[in-house]
Amino acid sequence: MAEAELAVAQQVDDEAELVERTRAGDRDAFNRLVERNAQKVFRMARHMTRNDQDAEDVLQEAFLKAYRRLDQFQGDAKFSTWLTRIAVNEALMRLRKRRNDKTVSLDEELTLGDSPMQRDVADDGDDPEESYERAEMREILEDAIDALAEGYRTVFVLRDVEGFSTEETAEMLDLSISAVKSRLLRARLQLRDKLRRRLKGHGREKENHV
Amino acid sequence: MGVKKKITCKSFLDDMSNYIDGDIPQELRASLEAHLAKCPECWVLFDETKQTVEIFQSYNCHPLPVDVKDRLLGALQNQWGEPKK
Repeated sequence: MAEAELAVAQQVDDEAELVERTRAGDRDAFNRLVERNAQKVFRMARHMTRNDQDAEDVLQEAFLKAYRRLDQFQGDAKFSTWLTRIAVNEALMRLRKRRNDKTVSLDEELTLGDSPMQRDVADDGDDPEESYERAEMREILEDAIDALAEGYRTVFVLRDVEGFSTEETAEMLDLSISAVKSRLLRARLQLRDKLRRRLKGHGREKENHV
Repeated sequence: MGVKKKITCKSFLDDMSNYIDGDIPQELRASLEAHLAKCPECWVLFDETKQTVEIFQSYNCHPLPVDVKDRLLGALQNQWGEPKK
Protein backbone atom coordinates (compact mmCIF):
# COMPACT_ATOMS: atom_id res chain seq x y z
CA MET A 1 0.00 0.00 0.00
CA ALA A 2 1.38 3.45 -0.91
CA GLU A 3 2.10 5.87 1.90
CA ALA A 4 -0.67 8.25 0.90
CA GLU A 5 -3.19 5.43 0.80
CA LEU A 6 -1.97 4.26 4.18
CA ALA A 7 -2.49 7.72 5.67
CA VAL A 8 -6.04 7.84 4.34
CA ALA A 9 -6.70 4.35 5.61
CA GLN A 10 -5.53 5.37 9.06
CA GLN A 11 -7.98 8.25 9.12
CA VAL A 12 -10.88 5.86 8.72
CA ASP A 13 -9.35 3.45 11.13
CA ASP A 14 -12.45 3.10 13.19
CA GLU A 15 -13.63 -0.32 14.29
CA ALA A 16 -17.23 0.08 13.20
CA GLU A 17 -16.10 1.31 9.80
CA LEU A 18 -13.67 -1.59 9.47
CA VAL A 19 -16.41 -4.07 10.35
CA GLU A 20 -18.70 -2.56 7.71
CA ARG A 21 -15.97 -2.68 5.10
CA THR A 22 -15.24 -6.33 5.96
CA ARG A 23 -18.93 -7.16 5.55
CA ALA A 24 -18.77 -5.54 2.13
CA GLY A 25 -15.96 -7.92 1.19
CA ASP A 26 -12.87 -5.85 2.01
CA ARG A 27 -10.41 -8.33 3.51
CA ASP A 28 -7.78 -5.68 4.13
CA ALA A 29 -10.26 -4.10 6.52
CA PHE A 30 -10.40 -7.34 8.49
CA ASN A 31 -6.60 -7.53 8.48
CA ARG A 32 -6.60 -4.11 10.10
CA LEU A 33 -8.92 -5.42 12.80
CA VAL A 34 -6.40 -8.24 13.29
CA GLU A 35 -3.55 -5.73 13.57
CA ARG A 36 -5.42 -3.78 16.20
CA ASN A 37 -6.61 -6.66 18.33
CA ALA A 38 -4.23 -9.62 17.97
CA GLN A 39 -1.88 -8.58 20.78
CA LYS A 40 -4.71 -8.11 23.25
CA VAL A 41 -6.37 -11.42 22.38
CA PHE A 42 -3.07 -13.31 22.48
CA ARG A 43 -2.11 -11.87 25.87
CA MET A 44 -5.49 -12.69 27.36
CA ALA A 45 -5.40 -16.24 25.93
CA ARG A 46 -1.83 -16.81 27.10
CA HIS A 47 -2.60 -15.62 30.62
CA MET A 48 -5.69 -17.80 30.78
CA THR A 49 -4.24 -21.00 29.32
CA ARG A 50 -0.63 -20.59 30.57
CA ASN A 51 0.48 -22.34 27.42
CA ASP A 52 1.93 -20.88 24.21
CA GLN A 53 0.34 -23.40 21.85
CA ASP A 54 -3.12 -23.11 23.41
CA ALA A 55 -2.83 -19.34 23.29
CA GLU A 56 -2.01 -19.46 19.58
CA ASP A 57 -4.91 -21.86 18.92
CA VAL A 58 -7.29 -19.58 20.83
CA LEU A 59 -6.01 -16.56 18.89
CA GLN A 60 -6.57 -18.21 15.50
CA GLU A 61 -9.91 -19.73 16.40
CA ALA A 62 -11.20 -16.44 17.80
CA PHE A 63 -10.39 -14.49 14.63
CA LEU A 64 -11.64 -17.23 12.29
CA LYS A 65 -14.91 -17.47 14.21
CA ALA A 66 -15.27 -13.70 14.39
CA TYR A 67 -14.88 -13.51 10.61
CA ARG A 68 -17.38 -16.29 9.97
CA ARG A 69 -19.87 -14.85 12.46
CA LEU A 70 -19.51 -11.21 11.57
CA ASP A 71 -23.19 -11.14 10.53
CA GLN A 72 -24.09 -11.89 14.15
CA PHE A 73 -22.13 -8.92 15.45
CA GLN A 74 -24.73 -6.36 16.49
CA GLY A 75 -22.66 -3.24 16.84
CA ASP A 76 -24.12 -2.41 20.26
CA ALA A 77 -20.80 -3.54 21.76
CA LYS A 78 -17.32 -2.73 20.51
CA PHE A 79 -15.88 -5.23 18.06
CA SER A 80 -12.87 -5.77 20.34
CA THR A 81 -15.16 -6.65 23.25
CA TRP A 82 -17.19 -9.04 21.12
CA LEU A 83 -13.98 -10.64 19.79
CA THR A 84 -12.53 -10.99 23.30
CA ARG A 85 -15.69 -12.75 24.44
CA ILE A 86 -15.28 -15.28 21.65
CA ALA A 87 -11.64 -15.76 22.69
CA VAL A 88 -12.53 -16.09 26.39
CA ASN A 89 -15.03 -18.83 25.52
CA GLU A 90 -12.41 -20.62 23.45
CA ALA A 91 -9.90 -20.40 26.28
CA LEU A 92 -12.44 -21.61 28.86
CA MET A 93 -13.30 -24.55 26.61
CA ARG A 94 -9.65 -25.53 26.44
CA LEU A 95 -9.24 -25.23 30.21
CA ARG A 96 -12.28 -27.45 30.75
CA LYS A 97 -10.98 -29.98 28.27
CA ARG A 98 -7.60 -29.95 29.95
CA ARG A 99 -9.19 -30.51 33.36
CA ASN A 100 -10.98 -33.54 31.95
CA ASP A 101 -7.89 -34.79 30.18
CA LYS A 102 -5.89 -36.62 32.83
CA THR A 103 -2.95 -37.14 30.49
CA VAL A 104 -1.88 -33.52 30.88
CA SER A 105 0.09 -33.20 34.09
CA LEU A 106 0.51 -29.97 35.98
CA ASP A 107 4.22 -30.03 35.16
CA GLU A 108 3.53 -30.22 31.45
CA GLU A 109 1.05 -27.42 31.77
CA LEU A 110 3.67 -25.22 33.33
CA THR A 111 6.29 -25.86 30.66
CA LEU A 112 6.35 -22.51 29.02
CA GLY A 113 8.49 -23.08 25.96
CA ASP A 114 10.82 -20.41 24.70
CA SER A 115 11.58 -17.50 26.91
CA PRO A 116 9.68 -14.47 25.62
CA MET A 117 12.98 -12.62 25.68
CA GLN A 118 14.37 -14.91 22.99
CA ARG A 119 11.49 -14.47 20.56
CA ASP A 120 10.87 -11.79 18.00
CA VAL A 121 7.76 -9.93 18.98
CA ALA A 122 5.22 -8.20 16.83
CA ASP A 123 5.06 -5.36 19.28
CA ASP A 124 2.67 -2.52 18.76
CA GLY A 125 5.50 -0.17 18.74
CA ASP A 126 6.51 2.11 21.54
CA ASP A 127 9.15 -0.14 23.06
CA PRO A 128 10.99 -1.90 20.25
CA GLU A 129 14.13 -2.45 22.29
CA GLU A 130 12.83 -3.50 25.62
CA SER A 131 15.58 -2.99 28.18
CA TYR A 132 16.94 -6.01 29.96
CA GLU A 133 15.48 -4.74 33.24
CA ARG A 134 12.02 -4.31 31.78
CA ALA A 135 12.14 -7.71 30.09
CA GLU A 136 13.18 -9.27 33.37
CA MET A 137 10.40 -7.51 35.27
CA ARG A 138 7.87 -8.49 32.61
CA GLU A 139 8.80 -12.14 33.06
CA ILE A 140 8.41 -11.82 36.82
CA LEU A 141 4.92 -10.38 36.30
CA GLU A 142 4.02 -13.13 33.82
CA ASP A 143 5.19 -15.82 36.25
CA ALA A 144 3.28 -14.19 39.10
CA ILE A 145 0.02 -14.37 37.12
CA ASP A 146 0.78 -17.93 36.02
CA ALA A 147 1.11 -18.94 39.67
CA LEU A 148 -2.44 -17.80 40.55
CA ALA A 149 -5.20 -20.38 40.75
CA GLU A 150 -7.34 -20.45 37.60
CA GLY A 151 -10.39 -18.80 39.15
CA TYR A 152 -8.39 -15.84 40.41
CA ARG A 153 -6.16 -15.63 37.36
CA THR A 154 -8.97 -15.35 34.88
CA VAL A 155 -10.78 -12.66 36.85
CA PHE A 156 -7.57 -10.67 37.38
CA VAL A 157 -6.64 -10.81 33.70
CA LEU A 158 -10.06 -9.71 32.47
CA ARG A 159 -10.48 -6.95 35.06
CA ASP A 160 -7.02 -5.52 35.65
CA VAL A 161 -5.02 -6.49 32.56
CA GLU A 162 -7.69 -6.20 29.86
CA GLY A 163 -9.80 -3.58 31.60
CA PHE A 164 -13.24 -5.18 31.40
CA SER A 165 -15.81 -3.97 33.90
CA THR A 166 -16.95 -6.10 36.83
CA GLU A 167 -20.27 -6.66 35.06
CA GLU A 168 -18.67 -7.71 31.77
CA THR A 169 -16.29 -10.06 33.58
CA ALA A 170 -19.16 -11.60 35.56
CA GLU A 171 -21.14 -12.18 32.38
CA MET A 172 -18.21 -13.70 30.46
CA LEU A 173 -17.32 -16.10 33.27
CA ASP A 174 -20.89 -16.79 34.37
CA LEU A 175 -20.15 -15.56 37.89
CA SER A 176 -22.00 -13.26 40.28
CA ILE A 177 -20.79 -9.68 40.68
CA SER A 178 -19.80 -10.39 44.28
CA ALA A 179 -17.81 -13.49 43.23
CA VAL A 180 -15.88 -11.40 40.68
CA LYS A 181 -15.16 -8.77 43.31
CA SER A 182 -13.98 -11.21 45.95
CA ARG A 183 -11.81 -13.14 43.49
CA LEU A 184 -10.32 -9.91 42.23
CA LEU A 185 -9.42 -8.84 45.76
CA ARG A 186 -7.79 -12.19 46.51
CA ALA A 187 -5.88 -12.15 43.24
CA ARG A 188 -4.63 -8.62 43.90
CA LEU A 189 -3.54 -9.49 47.44
CA GLN A 190 -1.72 -12.64 46.30
CA LEU A 191 0.07 -10.75 43.55
CA ARG A 192 0.97 -7.98 45.97
CA ASP A 193 2.54 -10.57 48.29
CA LYS A 194 4.58 -11.99 45.42
CA LEU A 195 5.74 -8.60 44.19
CA ARG A 196 6.19 -6.70 47.45
CA ARG A 197 9.96 -6.55 47.33
CA ARG A 198 9.85 -5.26 43.76
CA LEU A 199 7.37 -2.45 44.13
CA LYS A 200 9.71 0.29 45.33
CA GLY A 201 12.22 -0.57 42.62
CA HIS A 202 9.45 -0.40 40.05
CA GLY A 203 8.73 3.19 40.99
CA ARG A 204 12.32 4.22 40.31
CA GLU A 205 12.60 2.16 37.12
CA LYS A 206 9.36 3.63 35.81
CA GLU A 207 10.60 7.18 36.36
CA ASN A 208 13.84 6.46 34.54
CA HIS A 209 12.02 4.83 31.65
CA VAL A 210 9.73 7.77 30.86
CA MET B 1 -27.06 11.93 55.28
CA GLY B 2 -26.72 8.68 57.23
CA VAL B 3 -24.42 7.88 60.09
CA LYS B 4 -20.79 7.42 59.01
CA LYS B 5 -19.86 3.77 58.72
CA LYS B 6 -17.38 2.65 61.35
CA ILE B 7 -14.33 1.35 59.52
CA THR B 8 -12.19 -1.37 61.02
CA CYS B 9 -9.10 -2.90 59.38
CA LYS B 10 -11.24 -5.90 58.45
CA SER B 11 -13.99 -3.82 56.86
CA PHE B 12 -11.39 -1.68 55.10
CA LEU B 13 -10.05 -4.82 53.43
CA ASP B 14 -13.56 -5.76 52.28
CA ASP B 15 -13.93 -2.40 50.54
CA MET B 16 -10.34 -1.85 49.43
CA SER B 17 -10.68 -3.30 45.93
CA ASN B 18 -13.73 -1.16 45.18
CA TYR B 19 -11.88 1.84 46.58
CA ILE B 20 -8.90 1.22 44.28
CA ASP B 21 -11.34 1.05 41.35
CA GLY B 22 -13.12 4.25 42.42
CA ASP B 23 -16.30 2.19 42.57
CA ILE B 24 -17.53 3.39 45.92
CA PRO B 25 -20.16 5.82 47.28
CA GLN B 26 -18.89 9.25 48.31
CA GLU B 27 -19.67 8.88 52.00
CA LEU B 28 -18.00 5.49 52.31
CA ARG B 29 -15.00 6.86 50.47
CA ALA B 30 -14.64 9.61 53.07
CA SER B 31 -14.86 7.04 55.89
CA LEU B 32 -12.22 4.83 54.23
CA GLU B 33 -9.92 7.79 53.75
CA ALA B 34 -10.35 8.79 57.40
CA HIS B 35 -9.34 5.25 58.38
CA LEU B 36 -6.33 5.31 56.03
CA ALA B 37 -5.16 8.59 57.55
CA LYS B 38 -4.84 7.03 60.98
CA CYS B 39 -3.93 3.40 60.17
CA PRO B 40 -0.43 3.00 58.66
CA GLU B 41 -0.86 -0.77 58.23
CA CYS B 42 -3.94 -0.38 56.05
CA TRP B 43 -2.30 2.49 54.19
CA VAL B 44 0.71 0.32 53.28
CA LEU B 45 -1.55 -2.55 52.22
CA PHE B 46 -3.65 -0.20 50.09
CA ASP B 47 -0.61 1.53 48.56
CA GLU B 48 1.14 -1.74 47.67
CA THR B 49 -1.98 -3.32 46.24
CA LYS B 50 -2.69 -0.23 44.13
CA GLN B 51 0.92 -0.29 42.88
CA THR B 52 0.54 -3.98 42.07
CA VAL B 53 -2.44 -3.28 39.83
CA GLU B 54 -0.64 -0.36 38.18
CA ILE B 55 2.53 -2.31 37.48
CA PHE B 56 0.61 -4.98 35.55
CA GLN B 57 -1.05 -2.25 33.52
CA SER B 58 2.28 -0.61 32.69
CA TYR B 59 3.93 -3.71 31.19
CA ASN B 60 3.05 -5.41 27.94
CA CYS B 61 3.00 -8.99 29.22
CA HIS B 62 3.24 -11.79 26.66
CA PRO B 63 4.13 -9.72 23.60
CA LEU B 64 2.77 -11.31 20.42
CA PRO B 65 5.55 -13.30 18.69
CA VAL B 66 6.05 -12.47 15.01
CA ASP B 67 5.74 -16.12 13.96
CA VAL B 68 2.42 -16.45 15.80
CA LYS B 69 1.06 -13.39 14.06
CA ASP B 70 2.27 -14.63 10.66
CA ARG B 71 0.53 -17.96 11.18
CA LEU B 72 -2.67 -16.16 12.18
CA LEU B 73 -2.60 -14.12 8.96
CA GLY B 74 -1.85 -17.34 7.05
CA ALA B 75 -4.84 -19.10 8.63
CA LEU B 76 -7.09 -16.26 7.56
CA GLN B 77 -5.70 -16.38 4.02
CA ASN B 78 -6.41 -20.12 3.95
CA GLN B 79 -9.98 -19.50 5.02
CA TRP B 80 -10.31 -17.04 2.19
CA GLY B 81 -8.80 -19.53 -0.23
CA GLU B 82 -5.95 -17.29 -1.29
CA PRO B 83 -2.21 -17.88 -1.25
CA LYS B 84 -0.42 -15.72 1.29
CA LYS B 85 1.17 -12.67 -0.29
